[in-house]
Order: sequence, then structure tokens, then C-alpha cells
Amino acid sequence: MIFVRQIAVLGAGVMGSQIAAQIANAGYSVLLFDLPGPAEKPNAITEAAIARLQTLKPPPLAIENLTAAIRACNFQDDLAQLKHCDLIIEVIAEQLELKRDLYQKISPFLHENAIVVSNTSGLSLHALQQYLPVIQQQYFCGMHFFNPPRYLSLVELIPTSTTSSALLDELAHWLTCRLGKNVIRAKDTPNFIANRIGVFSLLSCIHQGLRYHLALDEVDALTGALLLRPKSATYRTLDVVGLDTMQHVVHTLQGIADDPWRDTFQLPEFLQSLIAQGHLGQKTGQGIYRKQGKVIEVYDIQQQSYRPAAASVDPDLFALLSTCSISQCMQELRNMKSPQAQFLLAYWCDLLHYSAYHLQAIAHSVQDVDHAMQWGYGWQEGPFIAWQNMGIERMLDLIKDHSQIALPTWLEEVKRAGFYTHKGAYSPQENTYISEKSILSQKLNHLVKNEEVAEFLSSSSRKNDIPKQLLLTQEQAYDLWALTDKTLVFCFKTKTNVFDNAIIEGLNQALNEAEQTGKGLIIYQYNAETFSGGADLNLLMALIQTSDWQGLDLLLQQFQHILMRIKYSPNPTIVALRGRALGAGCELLLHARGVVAAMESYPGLVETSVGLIPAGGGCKEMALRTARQANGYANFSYLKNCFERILLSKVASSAAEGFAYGYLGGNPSVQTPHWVMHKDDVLRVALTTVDYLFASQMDLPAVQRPFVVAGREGKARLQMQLVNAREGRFINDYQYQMGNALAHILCGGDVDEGTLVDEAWLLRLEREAFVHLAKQAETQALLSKFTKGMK
Amino acid sequence: MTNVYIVDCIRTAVGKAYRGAFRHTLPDDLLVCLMQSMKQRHDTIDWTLIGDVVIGCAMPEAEQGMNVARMATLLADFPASIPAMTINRFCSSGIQSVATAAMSIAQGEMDFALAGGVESMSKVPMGGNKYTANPFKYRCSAHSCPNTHCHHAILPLTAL
Repeated sequence: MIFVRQIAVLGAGVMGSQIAAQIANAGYSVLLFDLPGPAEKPNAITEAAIARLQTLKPPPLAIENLTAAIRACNFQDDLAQLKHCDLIIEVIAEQLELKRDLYQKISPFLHENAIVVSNTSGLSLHALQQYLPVIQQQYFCGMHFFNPPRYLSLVELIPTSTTSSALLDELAHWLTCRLGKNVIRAKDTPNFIANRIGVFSLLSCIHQGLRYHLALDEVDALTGALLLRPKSATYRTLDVVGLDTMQHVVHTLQGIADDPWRDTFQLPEFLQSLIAQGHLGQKTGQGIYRKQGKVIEVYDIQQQSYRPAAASVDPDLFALLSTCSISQCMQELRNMKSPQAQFLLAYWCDLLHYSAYHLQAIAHSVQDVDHAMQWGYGWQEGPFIAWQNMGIERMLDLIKDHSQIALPTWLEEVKRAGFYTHKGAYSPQENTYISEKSILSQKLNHLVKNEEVAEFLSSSSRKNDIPKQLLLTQEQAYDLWALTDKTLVFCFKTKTNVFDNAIIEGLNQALNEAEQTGKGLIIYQYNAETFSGGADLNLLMALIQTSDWQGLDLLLQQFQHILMRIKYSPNPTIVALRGRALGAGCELLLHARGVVAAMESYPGLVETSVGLIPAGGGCKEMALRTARQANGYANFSYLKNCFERILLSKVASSAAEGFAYGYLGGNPSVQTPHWVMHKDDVLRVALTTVDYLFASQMDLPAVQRPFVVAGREGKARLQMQLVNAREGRFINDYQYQMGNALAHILCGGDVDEGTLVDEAWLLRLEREAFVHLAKQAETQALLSKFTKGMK
Repeated sequence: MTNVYIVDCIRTAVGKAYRGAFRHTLPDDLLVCLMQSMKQRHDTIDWTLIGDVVIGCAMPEAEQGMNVARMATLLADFPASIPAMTINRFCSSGIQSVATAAMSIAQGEMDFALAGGVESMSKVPMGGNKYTANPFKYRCSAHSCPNTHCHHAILPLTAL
């Protein structure tokens, strides 16, 4: 059992600082190391990296003030701190000598159970392992994050031949549950899985694009959304990664001995020329693309200059791919003779062939490859599932026409049954189908006691087949599950989970069921990105366009009514939130008894962006919450912030911000006692509380943060009161003296008002005052009198 | 020095703080009522000839901040050309305003002035919304104050 309490990240570069940020997001405090700065500011380099976190977009930190959880350290002065660290993540430059020196430098400071991992993707893990003390070697492995580490969920975990398998299990569990990552165990091969396939994919697009004489923006138009991939597609991705970085990565891959596609691993002439000119992409403001004022320009290979980016997909190709995904229409594609269609075919042949050829060497199963591409590159479909959808044998014919390179023998056995069957995903190594239940699905299954349902409900991927067991009601607009003997789960099925009449009716039914059977109600969505887009605008538009103002008012009343019913129901409703909860979706959060939110939750009241205001109780709840938060006059400053957020349709960028905005705190109107009625029952409730804290991962150690004190000015205000109180004979002279001592501590001592202090500062003031008072005759007399009285 | 005469005076009723009839009334509205009444009482006077409106206020902040004399003058539909100032000598602010206005007339600065005072302790309590003291006065050690009678510390809100 590993207890990861204190974590250190070595290297405060782009990846290191963002990994530290994600660890801070998870509620840990983390030490971030880099080279020492000048003598007067030894942590300057690390501090600059931490400050830069607040300027990156998209933000690596869940909320700005989380920088307080990241402590700046340097390799010269702070190595001793490593003695307390349980997990040390090395993220320095990809040079073996540098890593060797670092590992040797930190070795004397590692405690015997310390885990050292490396984010390297190019260097030999086995070689690195040798630089650690022998005891540590079994606790070493590769832990490969993807950029940006907050938003890309993939982490590849790579054992060496001597890494403890128990360690790997524990790290997989920790990364999944504590950092919110999706873990794939990869083999120790160059670039592991995602980058091996991903970089090849990019290079294939580049080379096939050149072969079919497509413009660079044309290649992007064809390899982004059209293939269900991020819109950075091919060339924009290269700009973001950096052309020089790409050059370096490709160079590493050229060294692989047994790769028949070795020739693909070089950048074409025009890219090398751009690199030579210093046009490296986003980091130099210019690469394949550049921005001239408001116009985006793309490099034209023929002209060797830039022109406005304007490429588009051929109309007939676009028409074909609008009606079905690419996997469904490979046959029609084959019949099209245009360069764009031929490019797509050639690319798919390359990708599928390469993936199949190397599968056994790089991964355990087809699912690992597909997941790697989904989680690390944001592809909606990995190569094997896409291939299966295209028709395996049909594509095999095309591939054989396209290339002379051999195909693995296992393909012949699997081509008819498929890569995925009801038995699982094919593993060439095991030569069978394996069905691994994910860590989260296993945990959910403890409560749900139904493997298929647990697997379905604990995944992010959109599945079409919803298992039937445990389903109580299945309607067009929603599903209602009787998931455990104590809970019902309501899931929307409207488009972007909007609220319409059917949903309102469904929620009423769900509440009836909950109240009649004494269960709690959970509202959870199958879609991981969009919890709810709000009210059904089509419904609203219909009423507005027919000037049915009464109908509109009635609809609002119905919506307000269901939310009020949820709020005041005798049975609790909890929202299990992930993704965007906008408008009415956010209003639902405000009326639930509680909200269990994923870090990547984005609540917001956005009605003003369509010219309306929240009318499902959102305004009412925010007014109510500020009133409860504040005290009379002070209410206004809370209200002002609320007002601005609603007016400007602000959406929180994380659960941390959601809490700060007041959208996620659960129901402040709940008056249920937070105390136990029977004195003899407190232990039992304490036991279930500890259970609850561990189960919901609220067991992490606290993180120290500085706080503001009232200072000299505050003390003067308290002293005024003391003088008046003594004059009025409300306190005696000694209470007056003690009051002065107390005021000094509470206001933080002799500092300016508003100074930030830490707890150690006040603890020292407490000790000084206590000892001072203990020396006084009056105190000694009081103590003596008290103790005599006790006898 | 010109002789100065008080020509007329008027006041509102006095309500109890927090519980009285005027606890919801804005202080500038109290003044507006009086100013308009004065105008009605003396409708033959050319009110554009007022040289100054001098209003005393002991806690001139928040609802009675922003130069409450000027706010009230404008709200009472007096022309924007009529100047106004708010002065503070704590409890004697009101009487000071009369003295100040009278001195202006005596010195020949103007012929005609409006003076008065306003206070709503329901809206702005004694000490104001951020009751503060200067720490300089409290030259005590960290833990004790050697003075047995800090006369200088007693709240100096009286009419001095």
C-alpha cells in the first residue's frame, strides 16, 4: 500500500510545471524543482515557471490561487526536502547525461520507499533505472504525461523488467483516482504507444499530402473534424508542438531498427527549410501558419510564401462524409478519383497497416492502442475500432494493394471475428480476446453489483447500447435506473441534455418514485462533456414566435416548480456533475441537496448571452446565497460579484471556480441538523464519516496557505473598544491588560493591515503572549485561587 | 462687516434610530423635503440668488456622503448653478454651518445663504461604517498598555 503524501516534480519546464499544477489541482501540496537562480533569488527560475502557469491558455490550474500549493525549490539548496517525498517525478530535458547526473545527485536523499518515475518518451528507462540506488530500482518506472497534462487524460505507465508489479498497480490506481487520468500500461519501446502511432499518423498525412499535391491547409481540412479529430488536424498540430521538436522526435524514430516505414520518418524539404529560417511554429509566432492582423495565412509550398488560408473539402466528398462517418463509406470513397479522396484512402491504409504491424511489440491489446489515441490525441475513434467499422477484410484488400510491407499473421485469424467481440478486445500477445474491467468500473461495481452496468456507467465514451438490467424506466427523453437499494439515477437523453416538457415530467416521476420508495435521487448524464446545455431553446422560440406569453409563463412556472420540488423534497437529490452545466443546467445544481462535481465541471448562468435572464430560480438562489453568506450591509459586495457573473454569462473553468462562484456548494437552505440526536450514537456516525471521507477522496492532507491579518490598524480599533469598556467599568484593569495582549495576537502583531502571514507567525505570537502573562502576579494569583478552589 | 439676519427656519421631526419613523428614509430626501418647503414658504424670493448651501453632517459617508448638501440641492430641483458644501465638526456640525454661512454673508461674499444639518443614524451609525483609530496613539508594548487612563483614546466625537 503506497501512501503518496508529499510529491516532488523535478524540472519546471513546460511539462514539469503543468504536471505540478495538476497535482495541485488534485489537492496536494507539491515541491517543484529547477536549477538555482542568482544568489539573491535562488528560486527565481522555478518561481517564474509557477507565475507563468497563471498566464497559459487553457489554464493548467483549476483556480489561480492554487499556486500557493506549489513550493518553489532548487537543485542546490533544497535536495534535503526530498527526504519527505513519497513520489518524485522527473521531467527534465531529454538528455541521458543530464538525467544521469540528476538521479545520482538525488539518490542520497531518497527515503527507502520513495518512488521515482520519469516522464521521458525517448530515452531508455532501463538505462535510467541503473542510476538509482538498488533499493529504489524496483520502485522506478516511466510515467508519461501528454501536453497539456490537465486536459489530456492519457498517462502511459511503462515498467522495466524489474519494476514491482504491485507498484504499477498502485500507481495506476493513484493516477486514475487521485489525478483523474486514464492509464495505459505500455511496453518499453520508442515513443511507447500514443506518440508512436500519432507521430506516424502526422508524417503519413504530410507525405501522402505531398504525394497527391494537396495544399497544407487542404490537408488540415481533411484530417481534423472530418476524421472526428481535433481541429488542429495535422499542420496546426505541428505548429503547436514546434517544428524543431517534431524534427527531434522524428530523428529519434529514425533510429528504430525493425521499422519498415523508416523512410516516412523524415521531415520533407519544405519543413526543414522553414526550421532553418527560424519559423518554428507557435513559439516563434510563425510556422506553417501565421497571423497577419486578423487574417490567418498558410505557407504555400509552390510559391514558397504565405497566402490566406482558405482550403476546403471538395463538395462531393463533403456531401458524402456529412451523411455518414468515414468508416461507413469507404467503398464510395474508393470510387472517387479526386486527389482528396485518394489521399484519405492512402492515409487510412498507412495508419491501419502501421498500427497492425507494430501492435504486438508496443501494446497488450487493440483497445490499448485505440484508447491511447482517444485519450492522448483526442481522436474520437482509434485505428482498430475505425477499421472494424470500415470492414476489416475490405480494408485489408486495399492495404495489400497499397503496400508491399507484410501484415502480421494474427490478422488472418482475427479478420473475420473482428478486433472487438462480446468477449473483449483482441490481444496478439495472448492470442485471445481480453476483457479488462477498468479500475473505476471495478470500484463502482462494489456498490452496484452488476459488472456490465458498472462498466457502462463509469466510462466517458458514448455508447449506443445501454445495458437493460437495473433500468426502471426507459423513455425517449430519459432513463431512470434503480441502481442500488437506496438510490435512483436519472439520466437525460435529450440533445445536449436540454430541459424540455418531457424532462420536467420525467423528473416529477422520478421524485414520486423516490418519495414513495424512500430512496435518494441522483441526476447523472451519459455525456461526459455536457451535463446540460440549459432549457430547450426551440421550445422557447416556438412560444415566443407565436406570442404565446401565457404559455411561456406557464412553462417557466413548471420549471421553477420542479426545481423547488427538488429543493424541498423529503428525499435528497444529488447531482453527479461533469462537464458543462449551463443556464437551466446550472439552476438544477443550485436546487440540489448536494453536488458531487468532477474537477472538469463548468457551471455557469449564461441566459444573458441569448438576451434573457435566469428564470428557473437561478437569480433567486444567488440572492438567497449571498444573503446567507453575508451580514446585512456586507451582502452587497457578494451580490455585486454574482451580478457581474450572471450579466456577463461567466462560466466557471473548473469545479474550484464553480465553488468560488457559489454554484456548487449544495443547498444552503438545508436545515437538517449537522448534529447527532442521541449522545450514544456519535461513534457510529463518526465511523460512517471516516468511510465517506475515504470513499470520496476527501482524505488528503491539508495544504498550508497564508492569510490576511488586520495588523496595527485592526489592533487600534480593538484597543479603542478596550478603553471604552474599561472606562465604563465593563472590564477590570487586568482584563484590559489581557485584552491588549489578545488584540496583538489576533491582528497579527506589529504589521500593516492586510499583511499576509503564515500560521507559524501567529503561533509564535501566542507563545510570547502566554509566557508574558504567566509572569504576571495577577495571573499567578488567579491560577492559584482556581487550583485551591478545586481541592 | 454686514449685519446678518436669520430669516426663517424649519426642521423635520426626529425619529429613533433603527426603530423610528425615518429609519428607511434617505438623509438627502430629508433635506430635499426641507429645501422645497422653504422654497414654497418664500416663493417671492429669487432662489437662484442663493450664494451657498452649507449643510453640517457628523458622519458624511455612504448615504450621506458625496457632498450630501450638493446632492440634496440638485434633487430639490434647484438650478445646477447653486453651490453647496458639507462640513463636519461632529455634533456641532449643524451649528457650525450656520456660523460659516453667516460669516460668508458678513464678509460680503454673498447676500443670501441656506444653512442646516442632516443625520441619519439608522443609515450611518456613530463612528461610520469603518470605525478606525490611528495606531500611533497607542504606544503600548505588545502585551500591555502602561496607561491607566487613556484620555486621548476616548472617542473624540464630541463637539470640539
